[in-house]
Amino acid sequence: MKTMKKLICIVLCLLMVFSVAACGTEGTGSNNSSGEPANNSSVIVENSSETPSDTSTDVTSVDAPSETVTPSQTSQGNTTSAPVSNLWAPGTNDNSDGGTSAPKQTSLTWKQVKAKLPKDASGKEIELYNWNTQIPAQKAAIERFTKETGIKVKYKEEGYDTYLAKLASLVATGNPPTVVRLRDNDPSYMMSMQPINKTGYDFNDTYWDQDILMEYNVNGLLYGVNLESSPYYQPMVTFYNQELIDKYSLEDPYELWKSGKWTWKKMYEICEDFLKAAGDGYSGLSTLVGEYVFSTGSSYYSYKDNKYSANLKTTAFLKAMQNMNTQYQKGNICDIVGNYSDFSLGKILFCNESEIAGRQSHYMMTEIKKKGTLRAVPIPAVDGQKEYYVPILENEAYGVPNKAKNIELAPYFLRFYLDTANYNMNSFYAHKTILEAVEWTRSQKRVSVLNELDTNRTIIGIVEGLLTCTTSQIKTLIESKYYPSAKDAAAQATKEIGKLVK
Amino acid sequence: MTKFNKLKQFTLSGRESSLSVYKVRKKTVSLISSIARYVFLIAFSYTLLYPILFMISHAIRDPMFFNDPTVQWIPKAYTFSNFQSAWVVLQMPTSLFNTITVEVISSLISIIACGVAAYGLACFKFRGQGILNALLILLILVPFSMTLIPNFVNYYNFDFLGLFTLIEKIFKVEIDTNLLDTLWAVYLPSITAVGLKSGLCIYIYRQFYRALPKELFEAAWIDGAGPLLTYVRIVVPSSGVALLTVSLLSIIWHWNDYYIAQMFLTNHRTMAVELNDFFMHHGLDGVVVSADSCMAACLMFVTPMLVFYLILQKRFIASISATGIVG
Amino acid sequence: MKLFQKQSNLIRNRNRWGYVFCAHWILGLAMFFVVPTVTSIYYVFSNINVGQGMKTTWVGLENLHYIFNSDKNFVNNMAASLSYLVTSLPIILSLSMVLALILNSKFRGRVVFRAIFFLPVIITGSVVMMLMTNNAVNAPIFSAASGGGESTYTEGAINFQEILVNLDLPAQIRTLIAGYLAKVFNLIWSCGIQTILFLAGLQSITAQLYEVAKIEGANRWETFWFIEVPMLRNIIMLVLLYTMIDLVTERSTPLMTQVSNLMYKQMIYDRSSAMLWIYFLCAGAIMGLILFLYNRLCIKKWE
Repeated sequence: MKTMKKLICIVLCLLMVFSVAACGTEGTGSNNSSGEPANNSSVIVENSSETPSDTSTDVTSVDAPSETVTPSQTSQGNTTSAPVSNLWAPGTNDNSDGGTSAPKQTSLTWKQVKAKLPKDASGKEIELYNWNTQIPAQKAAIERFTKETGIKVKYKEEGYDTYLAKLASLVATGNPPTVVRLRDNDPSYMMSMQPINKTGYDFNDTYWDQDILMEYNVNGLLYGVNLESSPYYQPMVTFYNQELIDKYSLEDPYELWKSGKWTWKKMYEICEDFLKAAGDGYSGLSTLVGEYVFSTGSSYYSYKDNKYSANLKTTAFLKAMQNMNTQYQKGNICDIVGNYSDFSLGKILFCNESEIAGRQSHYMMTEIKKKGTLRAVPIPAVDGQKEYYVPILENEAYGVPNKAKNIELAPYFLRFYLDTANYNMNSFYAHKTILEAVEWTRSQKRVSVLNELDTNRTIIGIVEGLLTCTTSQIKTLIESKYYPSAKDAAAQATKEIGKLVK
Repeated sequence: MTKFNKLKQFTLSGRESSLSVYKVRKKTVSLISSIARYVFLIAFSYTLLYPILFMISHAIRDPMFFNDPTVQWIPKAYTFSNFQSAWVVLQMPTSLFNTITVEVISSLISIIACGVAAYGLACFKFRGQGILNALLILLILVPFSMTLIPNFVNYYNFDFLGLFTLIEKIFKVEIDTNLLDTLWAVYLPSITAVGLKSGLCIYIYRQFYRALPKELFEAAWIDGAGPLLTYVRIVVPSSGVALLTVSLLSIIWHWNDYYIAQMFLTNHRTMAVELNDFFMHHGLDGVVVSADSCMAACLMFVTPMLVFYLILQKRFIASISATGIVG
Repeated sequence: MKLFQKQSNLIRNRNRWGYVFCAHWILGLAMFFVVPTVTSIYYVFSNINVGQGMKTTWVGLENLHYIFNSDKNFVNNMAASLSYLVTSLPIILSLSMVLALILNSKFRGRVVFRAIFFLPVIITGSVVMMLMTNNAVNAPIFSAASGGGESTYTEGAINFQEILVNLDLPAQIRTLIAGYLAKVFNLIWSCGIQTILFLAGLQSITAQLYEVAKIEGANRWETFWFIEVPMLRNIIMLVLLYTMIDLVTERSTPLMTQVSNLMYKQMIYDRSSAMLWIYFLCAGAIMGLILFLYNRLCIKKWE
């Protein structure tokens, strides 16, 4: 009897809890993030010292156009595929005083920056928090920094899975690291950060990447920075196998790029020639999800005015997806999920991948790097489109967490650590064409690819949809299955961003 | 007369013939059942063995045949270079040493501590027993992730009941009570039986101790053994099953655990942590980081546990029949 | 025994030893368990600002309102997870009992099979499984199931769609079969330790009982129900509890993926704690019910 009484008690308690929870009023309304962002760098200047004929000013956000964009709406005068004058010429490095075409923008050299260091900086220690193993080039750069300024730097390597949890825990203990690497302008990454304006450093300087500053800007407060010439900048490029080009006497993509004729149509033509010549067991192109789509300027999400919106239903996006599907059904694209290993073994001609695969120290594509036949050109341009958009895999930035100590030293460290002038770029990549391609993309418009807001689910879902449905079914597929969840994720992310500025 | 006898053999009447028919029937039934048994077991084993076979097949094959669809199981070229790469990427001697010091030892401590606690719970009736039993169930249910951040802060400034600040004030000594990155972050929970899945271990022990017959304890009591002696001399030797089960499970869980090691012990990188970060390694000279070497690393990770289980298995079965408890 | 009969001093002193043996455990609970659990319950009723060092502000039942009314997936996910618990439990129990019975009998290769059937315990729940399912690097057979991202252990382990592509079936039937195969596969992988426990229990039944049964003329079915199950009643209880806990905290169920996504990826601790506690309350109620029924019906009968 006693146990029966206990059981009835428990059941009644549960019923009470549920009824109270279920019959209560609606939850409090979501935070409506308000106001225009007071951008402290509202005029964006492309790095003029690198691309003399390519200065373009753009007031709106650069990464992804919003719902009803047409390609002609965005900036003026950006050359797309005539890069002759945009050659990266060695020697025009950013150490010189960059000429500016807009007021209030300066570009300080390292010496000038170092002169601004606080007097008592020497001897202090700051901590850099990262999730990759340290490569020797990074170690050398850090040692040189310590020698020049006397500030000690500790490199802490943490696992990637526990990164966010560990950061939050460290902030909770009151002793977090000084500088933290951020992968994307996702609210969950920026949660434990404080605005970097609090370091008192003036980021109104063309040396810092203004696009990143724009993206990590929430309500006028800046949460993440990166240098314009940072080696940790991940555009997508098209890798190709020089050996196969020579063997089957195909058109050389590098020459095509230099003469301004490197477009998607051309690439598919080369793929068809290759498949005809090579036969079975080979494939033309391996692409990650939808670089073609990003080349047209669309992306899954856009972030503007503190708001995230899902772009899956825009006409531009749908058209681009359908186009890609047509190509896939034709059989030119072999793999939509990034088969770089087969590319590395010489079975695929082109591979659209992030530039990180071309780095000498990276594990991807080892075989072809050993052979020395790895080359790269930027992602092709879209035929008939004036603008050129380069897909950026990760919008990496560095920030300062809450309650960190010695934060005023952080920007100086970043200014040194993230400067390619302090890295031997010749040995950074496997071949100089890769370096050329990467440097050229710096001057182009960016489209952000990786956004952690439910991205994996969306991408994988759309890809799997592409594998099975026809071109005409894409619209219904995206609208019915992926757009609702993407919209939810965007709304959720907007809310979280709103919390940041409380 | 003989003809009649011979006829008898072929008729179904008579006890002899029915016995032989029965034997034949029994033999066929047992043959069918053993065939069925083998088929059933082999079908099951295929699904269970699939990952191991996959790992072995990929670990041995030459990288040239990575995605070759014609090669399903048996690669065309053998190489052991994947194992060499895995050895370097996993930073092997260090990580093996770290795994043993961190995980294996804390698991052994946990086994002993849980046994003691379960003995107290099961064999004595004291006042707070109900509450402790409820807390035990709660301990089993609540996942680690919920208590992660408060525990982290706790370790950072470990100050239980203000004891350490008191000591510091009295003796005017500076004690650094940051338990993170030291082995105490893992040993202390194990000693106090609240480590990784300790709740389940205590529960298994408790169930087993409850099933021991009361006569055993009463006999020991009459002979003048105190509770401690009873535990050491009687309960532990007869808890063969529970001890082996708990030690097997506990060591395997600790060996496979990477979350706690990654969160709390950044300086002691165990094998599980290195394996988890396998693809984050860049810039190691002469080393191929690919899916094949990853499979080789997985094999290296799983083998010690397999060997451990195989060794333990024989003693498992043997010791149970020797307990003399049931029946 | 009368209710308020005082125990003799001797017995009470003896029982006080219980405190001594449990002392270190009580200390450990107080240091490491009680406070975080209570804070986690506190999180259910408050808003947390993770970035500021977990600052909490009390908001009452807002989180509960949110997860029941505004969150579209919570109730469905919870229903899916609880139904997964209830349906998988008898299957796993019976499967592991059958396997243990088979492995108990004498046949050739017994040791090998016992080793094989223990493999899932070693492999699942570890880094190895995560590496095999979550990596886009791997061969197509081992690929993350659709909607991946977070690591799904055995459900995503073998992509049955890929294997079934060879048979020319329409896509829907293929998905259906693949779903069932994945579920079966998952179930087989979950009954590793239960088999071992049953096996251990079966080994402890003395041969005399079997002889008695044979003499009495019991066939196999009756032997099973009248000898083996009663002798194993404690172990069945243990296996019940272990299986239920395993199923409740398994990370690939819809609710747990949602919760871990919230907790680890988006760092929203208040709502995920609320979800988790509600889920545990319900699951705990179900578990208590099952154990209570088992106690009442089965153990009392065999006392």
